Amino acid sequence: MESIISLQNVTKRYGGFLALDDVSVEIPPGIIGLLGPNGAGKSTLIKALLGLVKLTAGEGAILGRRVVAENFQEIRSQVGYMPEDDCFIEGIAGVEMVQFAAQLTGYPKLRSLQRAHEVLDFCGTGQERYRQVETYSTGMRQKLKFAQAIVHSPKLLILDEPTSGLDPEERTAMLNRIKLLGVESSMSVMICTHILKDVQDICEYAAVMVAGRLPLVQTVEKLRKPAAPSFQVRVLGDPQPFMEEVVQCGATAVLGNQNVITISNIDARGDRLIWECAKSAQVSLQSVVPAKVSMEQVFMQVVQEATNGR
Amino acid sequence: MGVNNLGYRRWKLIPKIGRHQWTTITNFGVRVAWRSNWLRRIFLLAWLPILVMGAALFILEQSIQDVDSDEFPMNLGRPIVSIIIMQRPEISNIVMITSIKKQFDTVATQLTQGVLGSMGMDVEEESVEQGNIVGSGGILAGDISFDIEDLKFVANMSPEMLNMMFGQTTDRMMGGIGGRRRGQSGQGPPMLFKQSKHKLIRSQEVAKDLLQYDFDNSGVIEFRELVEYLRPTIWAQILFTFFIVPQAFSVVIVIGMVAPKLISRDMKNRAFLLYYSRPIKPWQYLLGKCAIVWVFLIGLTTLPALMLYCMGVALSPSMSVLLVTWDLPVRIILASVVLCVPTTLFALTLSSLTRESIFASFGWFAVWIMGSIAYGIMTVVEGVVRMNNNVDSDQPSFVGFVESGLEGNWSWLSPLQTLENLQSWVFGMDQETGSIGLAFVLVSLVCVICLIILRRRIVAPIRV
Repeated sequence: MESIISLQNVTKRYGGFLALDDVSVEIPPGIIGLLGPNGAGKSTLIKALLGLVKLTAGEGAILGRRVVAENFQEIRSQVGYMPEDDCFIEGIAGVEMVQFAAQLTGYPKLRSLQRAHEVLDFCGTGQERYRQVETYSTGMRQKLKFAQAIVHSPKLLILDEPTSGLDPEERTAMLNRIKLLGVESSMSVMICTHILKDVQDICEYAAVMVAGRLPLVQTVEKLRKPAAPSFQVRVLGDPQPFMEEVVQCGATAVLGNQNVITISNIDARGDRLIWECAKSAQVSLQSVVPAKVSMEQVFMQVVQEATNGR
Repeated sequence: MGVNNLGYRRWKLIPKIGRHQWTTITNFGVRVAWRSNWLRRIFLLAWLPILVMGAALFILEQSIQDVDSDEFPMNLGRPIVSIIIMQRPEISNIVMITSIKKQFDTVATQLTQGVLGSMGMDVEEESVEQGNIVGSGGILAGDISFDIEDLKFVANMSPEMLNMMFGQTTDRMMGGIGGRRRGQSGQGPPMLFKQSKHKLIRSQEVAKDLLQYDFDNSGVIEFRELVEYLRPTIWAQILFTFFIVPQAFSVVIVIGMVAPKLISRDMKNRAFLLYYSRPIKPWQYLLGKCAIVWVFLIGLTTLPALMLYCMGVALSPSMSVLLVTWDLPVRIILASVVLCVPTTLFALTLSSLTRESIFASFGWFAVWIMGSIAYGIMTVVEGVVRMNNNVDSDQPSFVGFVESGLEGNWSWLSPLQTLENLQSWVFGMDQETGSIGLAFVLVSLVCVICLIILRRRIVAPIRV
């Protein structure tokens, strides 16, 4: 599968500060979450991809085009960018801003207006689209930024903190939209976020940046897979007898929230052990699912390893 | 989901990416700026002078066609035309040279008669020609004419004669201003007329040209023929006045309303990220923003001036006016460029230096107001110093004041005055005040510095 973003030994230095440190990565198509602590170089990487900052060293390609000045116009016409910062053009209505974004990409005026309405409908913006953008709430501005980023049907969509400032309902709606774009419209999406749950929910891949380096790019599925098989079990009634039975069989049982028991260190019998223990303890099992590592754990582990490795 | 929500559909339309992207920024910017009611009102007001100037051109053309008529509007136009003609330095120089020459002739004739008389010879009395250029009717009646012989004399003056006339005309002009007489040798010409030599040479050229205008072969260049010759100059004078008096002020106000917001608001609201994540280059952004201001300025200066010209041509009884004023549209466009480019770049530079547009507006108006005040103060101070230097002499001291004002040594302090000097050059007017060279260098320098600052400021926000 051809990668959408390919970087080789990319370095960016601001004076004495190393923002990107010899980054080499191949990012496949799909929805990818870009994670990293503050100051890790995520924004610099995005700006470098868009040609907003000049690389100190290294080279790269986006959508098969080399990241050089001559290609930036073409690259930007196929990339949609939703900045993290609150950015808008004062004195115009929301629909005009989206129309303007389409026109800047090279589309004709009337078709851009038509398209702006279509995209704003998709983003769930009602009559507020006719209000001046400076009067918008944070949530509305997020929707507007998202709309202007997708108005020109980009092949790659870069979203910087797309769900920040949104209420739970809007957050879910936004994530659904992103997922829909990634899955149904075959648009590659790169989400740069601090909300690990978002990455866990919708991303196929995750990349973790630490101190200007990109030590990890992997599918979320693989990242969340524990090193040894383990299960999350929910029992009806008192979990204590079941847990004692599991421990007697040589496995480890930890009781978590909502009576969910995480069972690890299971021998070759695998999930059969759980059923046998349930039979012995005479409890009914409500659910048995393979346990997964949370993105938070993955993130913390990667950051720690990268920090220690320096 | 609303019935209008079609979900997300891929847009199959192929965008046209090119160097024209800046026009989108301009179109949009103009549309947004035009929403201001105050801007529209000022625009409306700024177009009113065109009616006055149009009426002036109409009256002028009517007068030119029939100078002898006493009917309206010819009787109204004649004094105006006469005053404009007599204010032209090249014409007033010819008048003075002719007058001096005739006085010399008179003295020579009288001396000859006296010498011959004293020798007992019978001398035929010759009438003494007084050599009046202005007839009994006076300037306001348009009673101005030149003898062909006098014009030939001016046209064929030798360099030595030109030098002599330079001193003489200088004396007379000075005398005309303050009763001043400067006959002392070795002092050279006073500062006020430091360019008179150039003007005298120009007068020679005008005299040569005027010789071709004796259409009726009467041996005299009549007022009608004089006006015919100076027609393009008068037109240029009216258009130049239109540019420097009503339109210059409108331009300052409109730029002050439009330009300060253009970049400062984008910086404040981080709109740069929206622009530069699109296929837009910094130069396209800058050109687009400049063009927003230019659209308004063209609407305030070039368009009305061209309309004024067309109106003048259309109202003229004869289309011959086209043959003599064909260069004026080009001059109008050049004068607009001189006005628009430096002012726009300067205003946008101020806008790029702050995130609060109100500071940029304040800076813009402060530069114009303070510049004009500084120019006025320095000119008055220089005049006072010159007055004091003249206290012990027998010359009226206010001449120093006049000299100071006309020389315009401090005009570089005032943007308005500097641009006026350049525009006067574009329109072919011989302005007495200030140096064109200095104005040109100054304006060019301002443009270059502004471009450097703008480039740095526009690229800076995305480099963080």
